[in-house]
Amino acid sequence: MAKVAKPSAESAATGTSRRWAMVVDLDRCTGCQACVVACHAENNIPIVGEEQAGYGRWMHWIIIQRYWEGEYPNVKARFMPVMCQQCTQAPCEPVCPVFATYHSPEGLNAQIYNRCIGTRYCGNACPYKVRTFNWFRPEFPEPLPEQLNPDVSVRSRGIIEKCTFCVQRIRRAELDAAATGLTLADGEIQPACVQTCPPSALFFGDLNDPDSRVSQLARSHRSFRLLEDLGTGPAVIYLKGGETNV
Amino acid sequence: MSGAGRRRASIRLMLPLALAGGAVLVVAAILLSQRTAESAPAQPIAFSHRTHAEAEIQCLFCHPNALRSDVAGMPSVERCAGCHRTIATTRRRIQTVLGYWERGEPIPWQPINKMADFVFFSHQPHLAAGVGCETCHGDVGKMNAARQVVNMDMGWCLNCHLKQPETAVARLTDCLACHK
Repeated sequence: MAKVAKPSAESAATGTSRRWAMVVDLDRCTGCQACVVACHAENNIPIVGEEQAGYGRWMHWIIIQRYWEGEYPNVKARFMPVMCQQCTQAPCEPVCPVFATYHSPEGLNAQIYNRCIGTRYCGNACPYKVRTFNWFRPEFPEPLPEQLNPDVSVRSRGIIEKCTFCVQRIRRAELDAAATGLTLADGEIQPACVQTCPPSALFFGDLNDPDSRVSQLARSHRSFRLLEDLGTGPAVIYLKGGETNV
Repeated sequence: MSGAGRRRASIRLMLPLALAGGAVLVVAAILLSQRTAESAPAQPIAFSHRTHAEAEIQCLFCHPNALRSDVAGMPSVERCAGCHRTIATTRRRIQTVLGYWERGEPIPWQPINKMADFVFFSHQPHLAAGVGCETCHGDVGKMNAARQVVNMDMGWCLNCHLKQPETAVARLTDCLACHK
C-alpha cells in the first residue's frame, strides 16, 4: 500500500507552489459528526429536514459513511468521512456548460455559485457523490440567520454546492499573512472540520511541501485514496484503519 | 401585388421601425446605467465631503478601517462629535449631529457604493497594494454629496486585475479571489 505523494504536475505548470490536501486518519475517526456540524456552521449550509433527507436531498458537505464489520455480537462500526476529494483530474469540471466549476491554480475544484445554472451535470459526473443541490430556497430558522458566515455566499435555490476546503479561511489567512509580512506555517490554515475534530483525525496542508504534516502522513504505508483506479487523483488521502483499533 | 411582394414591402416598412426601436432601447439602457452610477442617495444629514477635504482631513481619519479590514466603515457619531463639540457648533446641521450624539443614537447614513453579496471585496489588500481611494471612489473631496462614480461590475474589477504584474495575474484573476 506504500504511496508516495508527488507534487502535482498541474501546479508546477501554473507556477503556484501549493496543492492543498487533507488527510483523514480512519484509526482516529470516531464518527462523532462534529466535523459535519462545524461545516454546516462555517459554510452557511441549510438543513433540509427529515422528509427531504429521505429523498436523498440532504446538503451535508461531509458525509460520515458507516460500515458494519463482523456478525452480531462481535460487531464493529467503521466510519469514513467523505467530503469533496478535490480531484486532480476532476470528472465534474469538463461537464459544466457554463464554467461554474473549474480547476483553481492551487488545485481546488472551485464552484462559483453565482455562475451556476443548476444543470446538475457535475453532481452526476462525480464518482464520490459529494456535490449537493439546492432543491428549494434555503431557509435558516431564527436565530440561525444571526450566525451566517459573512465570508461565504448564502446560496440560492437551483444551484450545486460542495466542500471548498474552506477557501474563505485559506484566503483570509493569506491576506492576513500578507498584511503582517509573515509567512504561513504548516497547519496554520485549518478548515472548520479540521479545527473542530475532537480526536484530530483530520489534517490539512500543502502536499507540494515535502515536510508538511500532510505530506509526511501521505507517505505512510497506511495511505490510500478513494476509487483510486478511476484516475481522478484525489487530494483527500485516507489512512487505513484497523491496525490500532481495539 | 403578389404575396411575396407584399411581404417584401412590409419588411421594408418594419426594418427601419425595428432599428429605431432598438436604438431607443440602447440609448435608454446607457442613460439608465449612467443614472445608477451617478445618483447620490438621500442622506439623513447633508454631509459635505468637500468641506472636510478642504479642511485637509484625510479619508482615513474618518474611515480608518479601510487600512486593516474588509470594510472602510462609516465613522461613529463619537468621531463626528470629537471635533464638532467645539467646531461650528452653532450651525443647524452640526446641531443635528450633536442631537444624535446626546441621544446616543447612530446616524442612519445610507451606503453609496454597494457590492453584490456574492462578491467578497476587502479594502485592506487594495490599500496595501497602493491603490488610492480615488481610483475607485472618484474625487470625493470635490463632491458635496458623495456619489458612486463607477459601476462596480466584474469587468471593471478585471480591467485593473489584468494589468497587474505577470506573476500576480493568475492569482488575481482566479474566480476564488473574489467569489467564495
